Amino acid sequence: MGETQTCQAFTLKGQLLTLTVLQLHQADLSAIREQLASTVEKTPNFFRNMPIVIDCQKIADNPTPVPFGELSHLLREFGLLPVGVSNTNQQQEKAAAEASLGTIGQIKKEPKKEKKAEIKPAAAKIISGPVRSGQQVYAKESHLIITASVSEGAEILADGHIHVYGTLRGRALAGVTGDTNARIFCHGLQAELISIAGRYKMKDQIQIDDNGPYHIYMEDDQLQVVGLG
Amino acid sequence: MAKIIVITSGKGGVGKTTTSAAFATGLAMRGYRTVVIDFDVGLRNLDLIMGCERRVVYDFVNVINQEAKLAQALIKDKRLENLYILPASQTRDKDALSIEGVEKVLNELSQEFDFIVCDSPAGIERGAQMAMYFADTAIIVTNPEVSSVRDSDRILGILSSKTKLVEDGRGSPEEFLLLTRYSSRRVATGEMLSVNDVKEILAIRLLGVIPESTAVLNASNKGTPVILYDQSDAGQAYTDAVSRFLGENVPHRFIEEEKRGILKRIFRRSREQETVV
Repeated sequence: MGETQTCQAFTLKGQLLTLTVLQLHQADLSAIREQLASTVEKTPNFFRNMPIVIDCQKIADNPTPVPFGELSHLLREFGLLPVGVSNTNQQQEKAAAEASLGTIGQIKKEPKKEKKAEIKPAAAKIISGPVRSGQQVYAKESHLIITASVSEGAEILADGHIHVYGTLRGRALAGVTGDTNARIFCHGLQAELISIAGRYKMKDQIQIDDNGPYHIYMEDDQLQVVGLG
Repeated sequence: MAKIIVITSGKGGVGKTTTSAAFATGLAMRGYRTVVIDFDVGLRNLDLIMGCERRVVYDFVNVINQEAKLAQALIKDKRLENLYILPASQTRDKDALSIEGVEKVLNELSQEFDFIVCDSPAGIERGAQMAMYFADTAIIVTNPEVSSVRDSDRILGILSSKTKLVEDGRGSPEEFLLLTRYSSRRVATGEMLSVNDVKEILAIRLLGVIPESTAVLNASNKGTPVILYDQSDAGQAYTDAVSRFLGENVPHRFIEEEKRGILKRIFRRSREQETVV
């Protein structure tokens, strides 16, 4: 008795593909045609047989129905291959389906609003003595001001800004609940670690060329350390 | 009411017991009734440094457990009539100390003495916390090197949070820095932290600088507090420290490197001789 081998007609596989998205700003076919012509003309080979997802995020509120069938033909005219639509409202989803374009789904999500702590105006926790090794200070929903030095092995945290009127030797974390606008100011900088909204730099990564006092802030997702002296 | 002074450091081996013995002796020499207590249960040393190890009958733990009266446990110093020692137990461990027990003994001692010097064990655990809990003043003994400084900083943090004064809302113990085993030569070569380096990191008042000295070992071998070696640099430095503690303005010596002249080198030996009061 031999094994009966069934010949599979196909196999379903999961695969990650990059697709170009054509984000519609309006539903006017002639305007689209004009722009397509100039864009594709520059590098026609690049666009030939390029799979395209038609994204409707920007026209979700537009009452004018999108002529998906005609749009699909238009795109193919220029060598593009529409494979689906995304971010459609209900009406658009239905119209796309009629033109044999499936909804691929929410590709681009609305950027999640960072949960920022509500900082009460001018609220600050003020510590007037040195913060010793092993101590931890957390200024919740406020800024933190320390009018002395922070020892190595100490940790200071704040939802808002941190000001150290002394030498910062320990670890300082500002904007701990996600405020990327939080800043750290200190007279002397010998910190083990500095952090703003989760981004951090260790002592070896901090390069100081200028004189103190120092201003630390986040720019382009990078921690900047600038001398103010 | 007696003033309670704790001699603490965090780091071990920096000179707490040497300092406790010298400081208590110094206060007694100035006429104050002083008792020095060894809080290092299980690792007692104070009795050796004070030279009374053969006269220990009852100890601190015996008194707390009411197995002996305070008068039976206190050892009168043979050299100074104002000075008494309360030794630690060698056979028990630190759990034998309780806050209530320690408080009771300190209250009783407060009736008779002007100063109570508490020699703390090293570390930040129970023994050290017991020694500092009731303190009015703390002398933080520090060596001019990085690990000692960091441990002293830790102790300062604990002093400002886990003491009776703080818990009662009456401020916190007065803090003094005592730099020990200081070598001006090694500071000059950059091997050792300078007085200013340590002061900057710890940010507390400097009580004194005790130079590294062979006199310390000689004194402990003889069971004599080094302050009684009044020709020695360490002995003199402790005398200065006691004076400063009592409010006198005494300039710091032994910080600058001495220029060794030929005469000084010849007479250097004599500095380590014992001269007992």
